[in-house]
Amino acid sequence: MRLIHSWLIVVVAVGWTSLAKADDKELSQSIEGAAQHLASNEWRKADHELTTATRDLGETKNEKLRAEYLFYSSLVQQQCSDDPKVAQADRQQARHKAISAYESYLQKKPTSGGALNNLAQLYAQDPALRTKALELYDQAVAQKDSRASAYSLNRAKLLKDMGLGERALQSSRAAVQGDRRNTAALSLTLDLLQQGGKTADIADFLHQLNASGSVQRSLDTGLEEIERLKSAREPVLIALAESLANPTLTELPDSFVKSDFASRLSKHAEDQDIGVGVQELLQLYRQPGKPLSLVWWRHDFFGGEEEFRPKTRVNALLNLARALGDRCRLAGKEHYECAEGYYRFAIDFTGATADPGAFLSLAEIYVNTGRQAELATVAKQYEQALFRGKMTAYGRENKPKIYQFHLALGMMYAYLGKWSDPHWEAAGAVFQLKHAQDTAAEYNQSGHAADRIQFPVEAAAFLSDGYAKLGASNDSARVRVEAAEASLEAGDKESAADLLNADWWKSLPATVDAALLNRVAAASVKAGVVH
Amino acid sequence: MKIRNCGALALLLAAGAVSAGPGQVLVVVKIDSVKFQKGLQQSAGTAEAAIAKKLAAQLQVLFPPLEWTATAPADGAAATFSATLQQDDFAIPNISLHWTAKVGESDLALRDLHDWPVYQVGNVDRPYRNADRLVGDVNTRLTGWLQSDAIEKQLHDEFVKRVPVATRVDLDDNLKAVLIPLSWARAQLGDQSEFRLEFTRAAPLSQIRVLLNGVAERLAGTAQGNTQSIVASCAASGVPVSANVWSDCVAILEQPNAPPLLVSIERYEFAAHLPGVAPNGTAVRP
Repeated sequence: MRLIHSWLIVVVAVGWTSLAKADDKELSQSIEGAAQHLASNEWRKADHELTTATRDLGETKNEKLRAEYLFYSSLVQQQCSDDPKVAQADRQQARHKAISAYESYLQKKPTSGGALNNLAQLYAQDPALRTKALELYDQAVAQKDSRASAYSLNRAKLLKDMGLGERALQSSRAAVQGDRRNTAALSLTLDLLQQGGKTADIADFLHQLNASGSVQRSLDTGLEEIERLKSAREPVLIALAESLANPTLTELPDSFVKSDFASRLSKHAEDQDIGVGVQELLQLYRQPGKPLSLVWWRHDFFGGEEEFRPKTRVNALLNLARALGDRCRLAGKEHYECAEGYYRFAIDFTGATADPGAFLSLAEIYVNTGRQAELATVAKQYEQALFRGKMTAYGRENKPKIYQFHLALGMMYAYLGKWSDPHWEAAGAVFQLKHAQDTAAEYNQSGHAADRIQFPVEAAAFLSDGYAKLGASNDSARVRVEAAEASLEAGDKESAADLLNADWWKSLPATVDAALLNRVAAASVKAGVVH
Repeated sequence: MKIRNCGALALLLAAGAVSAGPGQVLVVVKIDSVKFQKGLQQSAGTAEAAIAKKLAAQLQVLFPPLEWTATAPADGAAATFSATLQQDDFAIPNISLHWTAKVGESDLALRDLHDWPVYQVGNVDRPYRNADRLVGDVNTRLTGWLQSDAIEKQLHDEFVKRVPVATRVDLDDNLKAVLIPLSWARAQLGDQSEFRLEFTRAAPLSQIRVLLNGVAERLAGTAQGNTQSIVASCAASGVPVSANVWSDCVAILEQPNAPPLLVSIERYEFAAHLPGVAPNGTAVRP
């Protein structure tokens, strides 16, 4: 009898549990249904859904479901209070109910960003409670959940309404930083900046847009600001030039000149504050002339390398010239002439210190198009400037820069076949390439593996050729075999084979050290080269 | 098939799909630079696969209506988007990514999508023998480039617009809505997004081009959760259709032996659709 009784208790208990679970399932479905209606702003349907589940709610012991029910009930009231079709008095009542319900919910779930945000929205509607709303937005943002940028934007709107422009700007910028495609935050930020009326701040925003990838937006906004404002637009034009230099733009100069953008910009060529700058900018696109003839963009520039800082006129235009050179070069051989003009402009612009990257690009174009004579001319023209630039880099102990200058000079001399200079040792390919190689080795000892400079195999081949021309056969063989061994060690047999090719082997004099010859022979076998 | 009660919905299946896997884009990366080929040897393939995977993932974030994949789908992809790592013939070569694309088997001309530099003359340190570093360097470059809205616009105009996203639609005769089989949640469409519906009408013979806008989520009934749109305009072989637009340009697709159709993106505007946030900034989830 007792056994049957126990058995019955078990059956009843299991049955009750199953029943409770079934009720929870229905309650959960009702809550989810309400949530979906609320996502579509259908608060009446959601209300119906929740009301029909009241009995299930009374019976459940599931605290999570009870809390969810409370959140969506709060949201029903909030949406009702926002519904213009509802009578004003009812809306007010719904607002109070929503506030009370969210506060109850937050006692259970104090870290719910959604509830904090929604309660802040409700408080923000009352001017006397805006400070309280602001605190709640701060708490919501501090949760750093996936919707933080939405809370930031709401906070920025409130701050703007409170007349706290600076703080509003900070908040809207935070929202932009989190998501460059957040158009609402971008519009609000620009709106606030325009209200502030400081062109320097607008220019800063353009820099931020450009740096964060919103290049097109930065250009469009910059041009619109130039059209909207009437004076003090210098920083905006500088920011515009920096955005135009963005490496992700690929439009060639001649096509830019014909663009609607250029046409709109040209309408400001006579303006007092930026007219000359606009003319010079458009002229750069049409035909890079002599940088020394620039007036607006060289304003307050005295020729020092330290003056090439971000947000300065000279830096912006120099970067644009380099970028246009790269764009032309990348467009193929038929655009090399265009690239040359911009590289020369960039090198001339830096004057005393030259520009190793632009110079090497220019030198490569001349070599690649078989124009040795022109290479010799520019080499003569810029040689001293490159040396001065190298000295500056040494003065600053900037090893990557030192390396670049040595390499540029070394490759330049190698292309010209000037392996050494009897009057000045440094004016030869061997000296410069050797120093480039040594600088790379020094740098690699101290730097991280990921930052290592790899002395190009091509440069090693030139250095070896140079030693051979100077009669230093052992050095020639050593440089080659070391480069080949390094290639083999990295599994690059092909490069090793290129270095130890048959022509070079045949040119080796018999006087080469036997130990070196053995290394060459061993490396050749590994590289699959038959001598 | 009409279901009058829930909005006279007609399911249209195009007779014979025009392209396999509509909306699917196969991302291919090829290392064609001789220097890298020689240096990397067998690991070149691993590097190609790693870069392609990362590129596909980044493009998925940029253009979510399309399905970007680095693995060839079994039924083929609607389009192929390829990046080739190439070098020029300078002594210290410039290494860049060259772009090509196909829709089906047809090559696309990418006029504005120029090569993207990876290693330039000014940056002579190239990891010819280090696959990991190459993958890292290329991915860093790609991330930088793909963050640019200028690049986004080029990709949009030159490629994304030309990839068919659907070869069938559903029609809601009551709402006069065209339902595109594209998940609203996945596609992240902004209000200004537009689609293009194209097919050849038999009588009178003409190329029909319907511009669809007013995109929204299909909230109920068949195709729930997909993208709903309305007809903005229609042209028959270039001539604007001003009267009977629904019947002449869209409803004819309900007829037996309806012609094959293609739906493509005309304008993609991204909207974050932050999960659980309504357009007015109210959180609709706790």
